[in-house]
Amino acid sequence: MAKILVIDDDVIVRETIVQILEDGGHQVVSAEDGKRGMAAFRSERPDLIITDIIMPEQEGIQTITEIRGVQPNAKIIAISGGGRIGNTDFLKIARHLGAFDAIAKPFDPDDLLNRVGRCLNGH
Amino acid sequence: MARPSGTAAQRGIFYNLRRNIAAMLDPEQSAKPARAVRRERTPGPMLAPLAARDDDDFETRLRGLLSENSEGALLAGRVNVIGLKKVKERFGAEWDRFAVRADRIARNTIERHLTAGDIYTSTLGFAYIMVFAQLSPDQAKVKCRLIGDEIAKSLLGEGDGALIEVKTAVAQIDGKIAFQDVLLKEVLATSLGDDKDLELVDEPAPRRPVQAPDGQWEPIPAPARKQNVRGAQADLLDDLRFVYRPMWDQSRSVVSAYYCVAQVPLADVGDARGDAETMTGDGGERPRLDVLTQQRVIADLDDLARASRKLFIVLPVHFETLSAMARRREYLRVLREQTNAEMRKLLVVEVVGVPQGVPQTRLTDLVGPLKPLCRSVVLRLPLESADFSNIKGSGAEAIGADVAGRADAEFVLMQHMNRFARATAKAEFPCYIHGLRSISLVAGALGAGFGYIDGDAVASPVAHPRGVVEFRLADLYRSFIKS
Repeated sequence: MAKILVIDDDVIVRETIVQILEDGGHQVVSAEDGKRGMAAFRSERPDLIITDIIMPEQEGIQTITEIRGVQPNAKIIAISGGGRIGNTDFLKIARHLGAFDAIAKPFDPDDLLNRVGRCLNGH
Repeated sequence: MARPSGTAAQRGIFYNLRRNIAAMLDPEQSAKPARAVRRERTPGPMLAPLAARDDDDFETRLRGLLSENSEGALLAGRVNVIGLKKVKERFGAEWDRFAVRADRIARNTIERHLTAGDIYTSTLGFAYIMVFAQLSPDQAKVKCRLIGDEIAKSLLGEGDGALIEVKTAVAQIDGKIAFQDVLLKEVLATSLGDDKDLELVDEPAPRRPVQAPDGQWEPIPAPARKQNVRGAQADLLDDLRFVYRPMWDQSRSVVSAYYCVAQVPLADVGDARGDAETMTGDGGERPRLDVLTQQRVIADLDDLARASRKLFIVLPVHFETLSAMARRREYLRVLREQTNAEMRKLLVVEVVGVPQGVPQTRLTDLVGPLKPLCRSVVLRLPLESADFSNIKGSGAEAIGADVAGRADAEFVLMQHMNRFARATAKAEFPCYIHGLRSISLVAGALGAGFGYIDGDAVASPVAHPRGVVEFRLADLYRSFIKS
């Protein structure tokens, strides 16, 4: 079991991810934007961070950069989607800046759990 | 070339005329030798064949005109001068950008009003000397004042005719010419004599102060209060500076459009400036702001077209400016007369402050006449707008919003942006957004589907449009990627 921080401004997506992860046996904390996510990261010291890219106050790319600045080996998965444009560029940048994996919304629950497992195991 | 004959007095006047006028209107410039104002680089579209084209021609024709008069009265009321010195002062540091265009506007306007036998020339100090062959001195004064007002309207918008100096020769003193300011009110009063049907009034008659029963207060009469507000706004626009915000076309990964923004100093904040549009509010100064912005954009379009630059300039104009027929006609006239086909290819006119729900026929009336004068017309609406069905068929090609200066939380703005972009997609319009202050808002705008984006989070404003510049999503995060 791992402690996972989920950062997403969309309450439905956030709660869905929390539910999937808890059902998968993980301990989950959540935040609704990058600023609150950073505060949670500092206080909770999670094993894995799952962050959305498009969020108010502080979006995902900057959040990933800040997390890596505090903890260079932090395990991060970026998620993005839902807009009228493709999100592949956002996710490429997220990976370039140190995200272990990048997932486009919508995603399959089993796929999410598999990727979380791979990330936690360092594969 | 043999000089035409004339009296010694006339010859002395001819030789010193331009120098005297230049000294009168602009002492700094008068130290330099008088000569014709430099020509525009290509001939303007309205060059009148009657205009004097060089010094010899002007003097020859002036001699001819004046010799028809008796010697003693040869100058009085015949020589008229229109000067742009006050306009130059008004533009301040921006004058260098406007000088050539101002000269062209003044020449075109004057030449339109010349008739057979009239002549004019100009001095180094942006003064235009005219002699009318057929008009009486009073008629000439009226004509010059009206020409001055027309020049003012083209250069500065409405209500600034006083910035154009109009003078007329009244006497010859010690070999020099004395000039007097021409005030239209006085000229008309003289010409109209005792005609009581026409009353020339500068301002409303003062109202009797309302006296409170206890005598403790005395309200400011309404006209005075209004004047104070207008005065403050006029001061605000006196120190305009124009910048361009680079607009990112995210689908092509380039900055290819530049949005012209007028800025004014912020009170008590050092050198800081704010958008003039926000500062002017709805106090009636927007039409003048639009005309000044139009002039700046036309000047830059001219430069860009000559340099064969391939980019777009976004020229904002307020809905209220175009709504009034007289103002719309004038705005269109300036665009029509001062731009050519190459300049228009680079111009995007953005109608600002379009009210929600304005009838489609009304929009068509406003957009239709603009379309032949630019590449495209786009409409800026409130971010809260959610129905654009009235815009279909109006001729507008995109819809946008501006979030600069809005204090809403980003969460709220992003919700509005999502709704706005969805509504534009439903109405099948591309959409754009101005004034994004943070990268998270830019990401939100991209996610929502805005095609053109600008704001400090994308790129800082520039003094002059630079051209098409590659700009990829990664450039947005350049500072993070470097670190």
